[in-house]
Amino acid sequence: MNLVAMPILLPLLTAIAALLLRADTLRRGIVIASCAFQVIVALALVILTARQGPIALSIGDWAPPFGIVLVADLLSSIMVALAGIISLASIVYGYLELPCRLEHPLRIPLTQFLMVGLCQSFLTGDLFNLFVAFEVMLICSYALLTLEADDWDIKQAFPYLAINAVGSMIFLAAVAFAYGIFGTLNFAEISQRAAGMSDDPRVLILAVLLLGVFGIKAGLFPLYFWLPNSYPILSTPLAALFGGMLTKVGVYVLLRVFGTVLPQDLSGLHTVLAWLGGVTMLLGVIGAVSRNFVRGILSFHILSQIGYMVLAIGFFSPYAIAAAIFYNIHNNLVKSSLFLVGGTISLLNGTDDLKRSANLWRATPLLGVAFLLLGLSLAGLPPLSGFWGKLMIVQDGLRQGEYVLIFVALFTSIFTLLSMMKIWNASFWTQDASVPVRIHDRRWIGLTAVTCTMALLTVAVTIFAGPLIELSHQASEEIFKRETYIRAVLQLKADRGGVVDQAVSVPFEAVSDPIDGTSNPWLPEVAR
Amino acid sequence: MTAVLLAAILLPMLSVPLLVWAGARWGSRAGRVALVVPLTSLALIGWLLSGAEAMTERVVTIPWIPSLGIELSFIVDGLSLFFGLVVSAMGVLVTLYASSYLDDHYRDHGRFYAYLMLFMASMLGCVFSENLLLLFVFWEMTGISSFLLIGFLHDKQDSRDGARMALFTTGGAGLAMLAGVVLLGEVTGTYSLVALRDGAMTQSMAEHGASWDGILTVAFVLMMIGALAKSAQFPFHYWLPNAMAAPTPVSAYLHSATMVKLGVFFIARIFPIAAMLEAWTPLLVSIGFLTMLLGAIFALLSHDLKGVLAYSTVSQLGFLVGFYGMSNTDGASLDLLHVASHVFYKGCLFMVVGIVDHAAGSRDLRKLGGLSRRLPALTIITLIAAASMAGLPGTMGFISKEYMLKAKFDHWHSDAWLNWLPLTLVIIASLVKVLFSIRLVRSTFFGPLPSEIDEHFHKPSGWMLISPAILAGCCLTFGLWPDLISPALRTLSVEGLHLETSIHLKIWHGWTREFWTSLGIMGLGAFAWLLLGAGRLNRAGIPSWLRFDQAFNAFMNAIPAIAKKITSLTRADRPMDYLPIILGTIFVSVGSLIVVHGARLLELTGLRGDWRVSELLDPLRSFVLLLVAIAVLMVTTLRRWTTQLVALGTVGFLLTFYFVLFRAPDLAMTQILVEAATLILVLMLLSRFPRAAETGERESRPAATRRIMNIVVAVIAGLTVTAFTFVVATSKHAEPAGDFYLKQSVPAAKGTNAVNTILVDFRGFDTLMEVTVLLIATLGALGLLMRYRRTEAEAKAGPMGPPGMGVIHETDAERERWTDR
Repeated sequence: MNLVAMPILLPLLTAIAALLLRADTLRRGIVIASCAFQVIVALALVILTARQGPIALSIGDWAPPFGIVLVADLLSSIMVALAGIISLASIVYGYLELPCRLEHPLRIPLTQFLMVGLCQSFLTGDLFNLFVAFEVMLICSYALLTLEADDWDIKQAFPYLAINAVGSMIFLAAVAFAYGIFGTLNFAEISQRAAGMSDDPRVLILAVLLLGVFGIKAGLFPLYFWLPNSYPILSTPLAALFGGMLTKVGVYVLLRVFGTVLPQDLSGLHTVLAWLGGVTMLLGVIGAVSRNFVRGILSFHILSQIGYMVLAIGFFSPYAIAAAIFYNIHNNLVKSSLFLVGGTISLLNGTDDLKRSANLWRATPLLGVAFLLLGLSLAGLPPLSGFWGKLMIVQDGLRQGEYVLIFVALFTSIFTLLSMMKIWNASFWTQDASVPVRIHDRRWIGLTAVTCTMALLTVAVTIFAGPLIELSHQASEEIFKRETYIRAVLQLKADRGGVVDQAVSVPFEAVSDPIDGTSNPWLPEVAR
Repeated sequence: MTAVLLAAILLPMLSVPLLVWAGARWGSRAGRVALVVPLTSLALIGWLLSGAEAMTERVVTIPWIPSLGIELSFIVDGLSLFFGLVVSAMGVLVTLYASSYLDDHYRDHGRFYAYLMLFMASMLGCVFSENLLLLFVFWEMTGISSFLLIGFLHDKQDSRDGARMALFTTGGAGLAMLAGVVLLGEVTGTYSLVALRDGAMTQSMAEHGASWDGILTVAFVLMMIGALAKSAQFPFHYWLPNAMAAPTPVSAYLHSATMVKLGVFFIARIFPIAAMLEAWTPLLVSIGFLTMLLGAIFALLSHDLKGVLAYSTVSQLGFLVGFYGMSNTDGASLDLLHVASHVFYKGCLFMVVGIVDHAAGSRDLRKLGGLSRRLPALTIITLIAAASMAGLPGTMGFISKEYMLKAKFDHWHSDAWLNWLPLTLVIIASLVKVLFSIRLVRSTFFGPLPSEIDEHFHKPSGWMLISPAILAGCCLTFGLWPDLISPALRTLSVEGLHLETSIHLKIWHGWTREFWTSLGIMGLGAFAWLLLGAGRLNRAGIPSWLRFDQAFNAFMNAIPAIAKKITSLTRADRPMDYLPIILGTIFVSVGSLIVVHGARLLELTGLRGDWRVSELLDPLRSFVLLLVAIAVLMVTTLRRWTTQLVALGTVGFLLTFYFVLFRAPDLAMTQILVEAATLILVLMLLSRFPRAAETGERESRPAATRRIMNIVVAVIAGLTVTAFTFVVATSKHAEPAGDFYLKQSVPAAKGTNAVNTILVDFRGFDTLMEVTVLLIATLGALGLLMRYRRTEAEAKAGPMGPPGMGVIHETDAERERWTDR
């Protein structure tokens, strides 16, 4: 049985089941079981791809490039696994936070649909299908953003919707352009055909357009405006899921498209990417410092960490890509856990406004320890997981002589520490008798337990940093080498019968041959 | 040996949860339990030392993350053993002291000892590290544990600010150090200190020639920034006095004896590697001795006992830094003696101050006095330690100063200023040191006993005296019989760092230059004290422009406001600007690329030679295009929603023409249906809107500049997309997949409509997901309809956030179910 479709099918079926069932304990049980199973499947996929290399599946048994393929390489599997873990944590957290009666009946189905979109975008090997996955994800996020937001906050959802809708439109245009240029939408085939076209300005322009589209998705400067004010209106578990995974899709597609699909010698564009990453992290961290409530700080920090990853992608060496992947593993876990900590803070203090929050270090030391571990890890203090990613980026940056960007990265990390300490000093260390700690609200125990489990997970990332970094290196090699990815897809072609002949019949050389104007049906008649 | 070393480092770390538990159970008595941990470490390191007779270094390596060049690699040599002993022995004394100091007036004893042991473990890890990156990891861990310790009394604003200041100053400088370490590692290809010393450094220098010197110097300076900040050297000296907000045992341990010595330790550690660099001597000598003088003067001008000691620590650390700076590149000598001397008297004095604070309830030199009558034993201890600080004969401080002056007199640097500057600064600083030593003793223990001190006075526990008494005893013993240390110094000497000389320390070595100098310093110091007097000093203070801590705190507090300014400058909080900026960015960059590559793109389109635009457009298509353009213009210029919508619908209807033109009547019909349905639905919806909404929209016209900008952006976006579409549609390209669908529609998919076979068969997965999108959109709409409606009171209360975020949209009865009370 082919595991590749499972991460998409499981949440899809769960979502439909959840729509049909009443929002009661039974549904909760089913959903949790399904999420746990998703995690297991994803981890199995990671192990499989780490051992065997990429696994491909052609949907509907149509040979690529005509049918749609799903491809799980190591990077995709890692992302799917992270999404599974974070969605499990977020759903358990949500269940512990609100009883069945108060739970919004649509939250779980929509969350699961969101997972469908996430996993599909990680696994698809087709540009248009990626667009469709984005649509699924976006429409889910619109719905989730407005689902529980109150009348005051809901207006913040509007820029999110407007910007992302425009982004989708540009993406669709870019997909059409890609088809026009390469004559195919299949990643592996585009990759083959584009390899010889790196000096073709059309490829460069398409790359810039895609950079814009994915830059919007990832939250790159100056395209990030939709993010920092819209995430704070989400409820805690959803913020964890959004903050942990949704923007990281942008990073993933940047990795995928610039690593696997487009020619690898677009070095000018990579430099642009690195500088955009630098500016993004700087403005992100400055924005975080300017905010005075936990969700706001964390939302802006998403940008600064995206900047880190994009910086690494911009360095575009196998080592830097490995750094980006490892940083991603670390950051997804830490960021979503921090949102969960923020939620617990506001449960206990009744607010996450730092001016009105206090007393937590004595009241809930475990939450404090979890926050310290996560916050210091986010700031990249050794020996916590964030440090290793930062170290790899610094190593590669200095190796390449990018001194200014490394300075910016280190500057960012000290300011990250500043904003984390702002939360720590205000919520945990400050003693203020007038601030109540609602310790009698027993829910905090469960919420802290989830948070601590996630913190332990990041500690595990620290302890097993060695193997995980090895894994990242392997994933990065796979992206850089491309052959294994392309071979996995082309193998599908070879496995199919008669139809395949035509499918493979495009010899690679023919691509760069000028096609006779007379036979080109897309040319207006005058030009023929 | 591996197991012993790892146990010495890891035991304190593993004891952390146990100590938290012990604190919860036994309260203030947890300190006695905690004592076991440093004692064990001390014993283990002592055992390592006993095996070190042969003076050979031993390296233990356990692989950790090989791909990053980091290993759990530890070195056992004289330097690491010396600092390991200092850390663990002081750990024992401080824990003993703290177990009496932190009485039941304090809270969270378990946490205190847990932090302390975490710190000790990090310190031990740091001094035993053989890998530079590993050293950095432990280095930052000492920073974090010190942050927790300084902020231990976190109810007070002072403590929180002091902790933050220490963390940022040392942490920020630590990042410079990280950059330096990585740079060095990248340049030389290894992070191993032994490998670097044994030739990796010189080899890479030899390979790359002179240009490498610059990079190595940069790496060295970056590392030094980290080290100097940790040792509170100018201009980072400000954090140490503020770290005094910590409980006194912490000050005695971290901020005099161990953590602040890390910078000095690091300098010693890389001495064999970096001392040959030209920047070494000027940098360390100038900063070290300048700090020495500044610290001494600040100590004289401070009135808080802990402040005096903190600045004198800064001063002494400056001396140690400068001492390494001016040492011969072959190696230093007696450096460990100077470190040990400082550990003894400064640790002792801090503990004394803690006792005074405990007993008298004040640390202000201007308020204290006459305590000798109440605390005779403590007075004797203080006299010994202060004498050592002032460098009086018979104490270890004297030996240390004598030999330091001797080293300077014996070894002249070729640059004259590197001789006279240190010498002058050392002499002046020593003079000032004599002054504040006298002041410290005089103002605390002698003179009249102020009545408020007398009222508050309560006798401290005798346990507290043990640790300072031991330290004072060391000052005196090694001061009177210095040769006792000589064998230890020989055993602990390190290859590359220390000169191989057989040292015999003597208290008296004739009427030498250094003795005369010492004598002069003491005499002048005493004379200056008589001249100045306590009263005048009490009125003095540190000039505020030299108090970087105030500036630092002001800066820290200003950061949020500055950040807010920058964030608003980037328009992050202005939704109206979002889209123009985003569209502008994307399409200006794409557009300019099209312009830049214009010629090449035109070539690709296959339109060679004499083509004209009019030829490309036939009359029919041009007419429809014109209609579309007019409709689009109407959408943008009309002012009512309804008419705008109708115009938009017109655009959609006109597009069907193109489908017809490309022989796709089914698509044309679909388009018409979709347009009609959308238009009717939206118009129906809008008709139910309050009239004010429509007129309101019409009246709030944006400013002219914004309108012009929007138009420009829109035009650029439109032109760019048009141009690129034209290029892509007309240029040569690879064999498109579309041909396959046309050919295979009937034979393979058994359908005569290629569009249909693509949608439901070839690419059915896309369609499945698009159907899902429709379902989700319906759910989203449903969600909007069933949204929680706020009560009037809630609406007035302002934004509350979604449920769960501290907001509970629920009845009181529901709340009862969750809560205990």
